Amino acid sequence: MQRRAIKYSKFGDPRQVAELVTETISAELEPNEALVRWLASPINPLDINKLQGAYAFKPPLPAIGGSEAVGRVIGSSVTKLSPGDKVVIFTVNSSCWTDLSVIQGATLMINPTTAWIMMRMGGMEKGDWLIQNSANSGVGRAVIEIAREKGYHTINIVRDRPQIRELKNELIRMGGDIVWTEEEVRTEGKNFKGRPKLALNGVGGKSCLQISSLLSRGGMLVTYGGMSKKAHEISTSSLVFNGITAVGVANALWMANHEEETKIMLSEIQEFYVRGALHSPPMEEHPLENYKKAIENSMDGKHAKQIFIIDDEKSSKI
Amino acid sequence: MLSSTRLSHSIHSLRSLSTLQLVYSEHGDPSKVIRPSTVSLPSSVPCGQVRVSWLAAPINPADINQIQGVYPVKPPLPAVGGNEGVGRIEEVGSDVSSFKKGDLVIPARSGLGTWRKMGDHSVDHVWPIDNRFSIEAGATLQVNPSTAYRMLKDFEDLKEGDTVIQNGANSGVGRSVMQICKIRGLKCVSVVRSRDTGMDELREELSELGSTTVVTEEEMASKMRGKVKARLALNCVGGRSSLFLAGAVAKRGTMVTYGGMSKQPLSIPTAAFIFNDISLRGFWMSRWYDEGNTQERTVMYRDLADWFASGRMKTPPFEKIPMDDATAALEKAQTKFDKKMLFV
Repeated sequence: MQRRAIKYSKFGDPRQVAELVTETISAELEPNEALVRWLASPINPLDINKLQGAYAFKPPLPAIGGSEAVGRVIGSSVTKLSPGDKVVIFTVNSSCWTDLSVIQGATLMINPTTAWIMMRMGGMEKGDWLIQNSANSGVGRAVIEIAREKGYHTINIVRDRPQIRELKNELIRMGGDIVWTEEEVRTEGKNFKGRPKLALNGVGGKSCLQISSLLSRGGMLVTYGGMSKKAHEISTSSLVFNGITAVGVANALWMANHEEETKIMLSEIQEFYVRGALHSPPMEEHPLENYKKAIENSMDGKHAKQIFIIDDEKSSKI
Repeated sequence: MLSSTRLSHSIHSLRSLSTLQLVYSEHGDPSKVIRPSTVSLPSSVPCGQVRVSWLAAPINPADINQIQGVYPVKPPLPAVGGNEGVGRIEEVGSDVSSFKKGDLVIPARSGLGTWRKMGDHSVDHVWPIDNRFSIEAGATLQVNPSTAYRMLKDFEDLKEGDTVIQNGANSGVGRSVMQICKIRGLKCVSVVRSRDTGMDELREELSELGSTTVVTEEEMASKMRGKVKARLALNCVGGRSSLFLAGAVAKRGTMVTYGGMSKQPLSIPTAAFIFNDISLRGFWMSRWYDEGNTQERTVMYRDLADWFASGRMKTPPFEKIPMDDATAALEKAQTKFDKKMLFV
């Protein structure tokens, strides 16, 4: 079978090392494999890092880009997958910027799963507060929507920008209780009465210091990313006197160690999506041929998430 | 009639039992706000109390911070300085049976005020320790060796041969850590600041105390990168030092912070959290004491008594100073860090 794929044969600037190729693959399946026609796949920050060779997991080269996708099963030797099934995949080693691929039976979604896993930490109960930076990111938005479903209050930190009012309104409409810019945290944070039990950090640097310093006694800081590329700062007194705990989360690792809970999580997330309680973040769509533009947009920090629409099946978006 | 009785009583006390203590009535520079004060104790010890003759008390960084008003625990003013020390029971109140004359005691909690020659204290405010403790070891038992002991016990289930890494290793806690590591058969990587002179001597000294490896901060950032996989890291520095310490923690290991000498926040690489799944915790000895833990405390002091008595643990170097030289001692404690000041 012929397929198209965005591949790279060396690490470097993604705008230069990625190329679109057409190649032939075997359609014969080993046990526990499925052949999937990919419908859509986003460009996540970790994909850029993978192409740069800056990610902890380095795939053998040449490799196909991408890590997350939705697709349609067209052939399967996996008992729980049949042709026609719709599947989603997220693992750091998956290759999705292609229209055809053989995968092992896995069904994950990066943003809502990260959000869900983090929110079961820190002993959160209905009515409790959490604080997060990077609230406008895919994970951040999933946190707001899942928190609303679980009855948690959220303080959401975003960077200041020209259309800050619109963004604040949007996040509050989604279910956020409070949206502050980093400057507003400085003025409002200390006096705010709802001390969060949980702080979710996808940024690092001073932003991490800011949210961890607002935790209630014995609270928990969970780090899932380091967008600022700066080390995560935490004050000594938060740890020593306020007794906070700081941990990290990587959802692939977590899911491998929590099989039962993963099933519950995935069915809950699917149910949220179907009910319309959970939405994908705003995205800009591209055909695979447009990969140069899409990669460039995803790296300049001025665009929404970029997504490849690989096979426009009309009903493919979730 | 009533007033004359009182007067004669206080004259009697003053004559028989006036005692010196170091007091502060406002927060500020310790060498300025601490002043010696003579107070009198009643002729007989009140019910429920013991009379303690304080034999030695150190000047710890926390004492200095408390007087400056920058420590989270602020005793009501005026207050007697000092949180740690060792004393001997001189006399007990008529209803007291848990202590007897001659027992060695230390404060049960912080905030007692140990910079005094003699004091009456409620029985709940002092804690008995083994009479085998030397004055020096007893006076500095409550903070440094206890902090080291707890951090090596309460966070990771360490087995013989496991590795512990610590920065600020030349500190009082750091020295206790390496000695306890040696006793428990743990490998101990000690990180110190490099110095122009005496580096070889310091390496030798810390190795003798129990460090398996002694490295400088610079070596941690260069040739030691990726070489150490510690189950437990102990951090009292923060800043850049904590960055490399966190990088030396094994998968699923723990880094415990108990101080921040650099006055910089901790700095933790993303990979340590996300790929190595390490946890960061804090430890505060005072809170541990405040939480009760009486049985655990008895076991800990018994272990430490054994180790000090057998010579397997040693106290750090002290400079002994009489309490009358308080100002000079407090100045030195804030400028010289090679020796701990000990009031005797």
